[in-house]
Amino acid sequence: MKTNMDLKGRMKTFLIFATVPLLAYPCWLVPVFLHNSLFGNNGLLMWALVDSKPGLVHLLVRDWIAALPISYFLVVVFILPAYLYAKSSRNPVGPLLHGAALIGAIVLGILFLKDNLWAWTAALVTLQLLTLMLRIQLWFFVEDRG
Amino acid sequence: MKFLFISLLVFLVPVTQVLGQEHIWVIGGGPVADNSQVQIEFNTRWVQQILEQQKPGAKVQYFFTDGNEPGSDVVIHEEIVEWPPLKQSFERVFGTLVGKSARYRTHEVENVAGGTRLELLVPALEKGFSEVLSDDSVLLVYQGHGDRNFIFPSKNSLKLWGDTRLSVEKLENLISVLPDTTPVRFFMPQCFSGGFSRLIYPDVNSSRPPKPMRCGFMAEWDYEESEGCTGSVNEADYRDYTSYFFAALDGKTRTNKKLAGNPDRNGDGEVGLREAHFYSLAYGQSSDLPRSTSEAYLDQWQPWYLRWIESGEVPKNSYSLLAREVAANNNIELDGSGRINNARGVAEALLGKRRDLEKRLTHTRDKGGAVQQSIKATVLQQWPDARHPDTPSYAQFLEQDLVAAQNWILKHEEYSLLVKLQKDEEKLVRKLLDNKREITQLQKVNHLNRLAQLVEEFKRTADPVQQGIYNALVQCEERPL
Repeated sequence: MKTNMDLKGRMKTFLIFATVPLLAYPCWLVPVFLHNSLFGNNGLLMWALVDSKPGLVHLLVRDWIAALPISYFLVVVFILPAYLYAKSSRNPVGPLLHGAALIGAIVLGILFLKDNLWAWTAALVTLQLLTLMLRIQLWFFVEDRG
Repeated sequence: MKFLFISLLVFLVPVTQVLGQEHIWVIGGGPVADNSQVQIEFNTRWVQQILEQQKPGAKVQYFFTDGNEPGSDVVIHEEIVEWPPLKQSFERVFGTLVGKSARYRTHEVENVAGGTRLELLVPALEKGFSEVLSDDSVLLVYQGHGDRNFIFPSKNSLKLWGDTRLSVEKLENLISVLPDTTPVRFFMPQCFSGGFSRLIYPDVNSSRPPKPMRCGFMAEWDYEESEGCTGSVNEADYRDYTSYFFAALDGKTRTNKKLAGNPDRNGDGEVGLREAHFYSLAYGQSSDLPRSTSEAYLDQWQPWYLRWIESGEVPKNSYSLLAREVAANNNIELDGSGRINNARGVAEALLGKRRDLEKRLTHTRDKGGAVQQSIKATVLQQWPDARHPDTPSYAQFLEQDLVAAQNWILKHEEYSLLVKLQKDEEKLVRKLLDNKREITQLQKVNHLNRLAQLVEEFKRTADPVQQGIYNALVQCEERPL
């Protein structure tokens, strides 16, 4: 019985880690949209207001698909190992996951975003948001209260 | 290796320009007579005139609607307001167009080699392309309508005679027989023409690198309609991409007026296609937002994380200069960073105006339709023969009772209201178009600023192969007609 429960838990964990990167691009749009609304004058708003809606959807889907490899890379290389380490070493999961997300954002920034400060900020916010969503899901579905 | 290959192709461009035969294909006309507006024909004839003047040595072939068949294949929308009141009355009540009347005739394009029906055009193009040698050059000019595919823009198509379609994929297959060293340029002003930017790729559905010797210009991106299909014969009102682009190449407008600005941006005394494109962007008072293939390539290259990010000042380059020109030409205020001042406020004001105009138009249209139906019903009650236009009794009605019916309509108590409503409707349609054109100028500034940023990002981060392809596309676009 216990083994079945473990297996179920592992399956749920696996599913959560496999699906969370799908949310990375929508998460990325949150800080970008906020930045554009608050400070910028903004491509996104102009598009949302006046340009072709099917075209906008097409671009968002295209970018979402293009963002998937890096999203999976960050989750699998940084966040998942941090989670496994926290579980096995009985350390609190939260700080380790957020720390790993921070390192992931820095790596992403160095690799791609170069000197684009707003993109760096957006990447940091995105990965922290994503980690928060991951934690909520783990808390709900795998009963991880760490 | 790839880089060397591309460098070699870039080097070849000016050489081939001098050596080989120039082949030009002009394909024009609508898919059916009702949708083959006279502007398409006028555009084709005007382009023909410019090509004859500027390219006397080129081998030019024209394909238009049904070719040399005698049937009607062009529609003209006459303004009925210019007609005598008696003649207007029947048209206002029984006509399908508001304030206009359709008249058909056969096209007047000279030296037409054939029709554009797909099964005729494809073999003609295959034969023509097979005769092109490696040091020749090719220019494809289209004048007509386009169709879209919401999911796959590579399936966007040209609407050819007989309501047939030539998709981006099929056209790419056709031009793929041309030698790799042959510069292939194209001009596509139709609706949803942006899909045709994929013609630069050897396979429109894959991510294989584009062919750097192919380049082109499109009136709009993949999902937007373009201007250029009015049934009006008043050429001074034409504001489509063709009208601006070819005016820049010709050095004067299509009505022989002075250009709004100097299109020769590099001052070499010659106007290249890219300069004509820039002129269209700077001075085009239309609802088109034209794109070139190099711009489409930048957009395709653009990584997902760059699209919505705007940071700092807009970098200074040809695109930001163009954005400033568009802003200055349209009284759009820019802020210190070069972006539209209070973009959201300005856009919302214009959109509010659009919503208001749309509401008024719907109201006027509904009311006008109801009044029209009411008058029509009373006319049909008195002259039942006017009910079925496909019958001999209708011909009899036209012959014997038309004048009486026209007089009767003129005296109808609701007729003056109908005339007023139809005139109001026409005014509102024009205002809506003006509003769309104003919105486009905002989008244009935004789009050009984004391109300015993208070009700098591209120069900084794209790999040498990508840089080589982009430079080759720009060089291909820069060549004169």
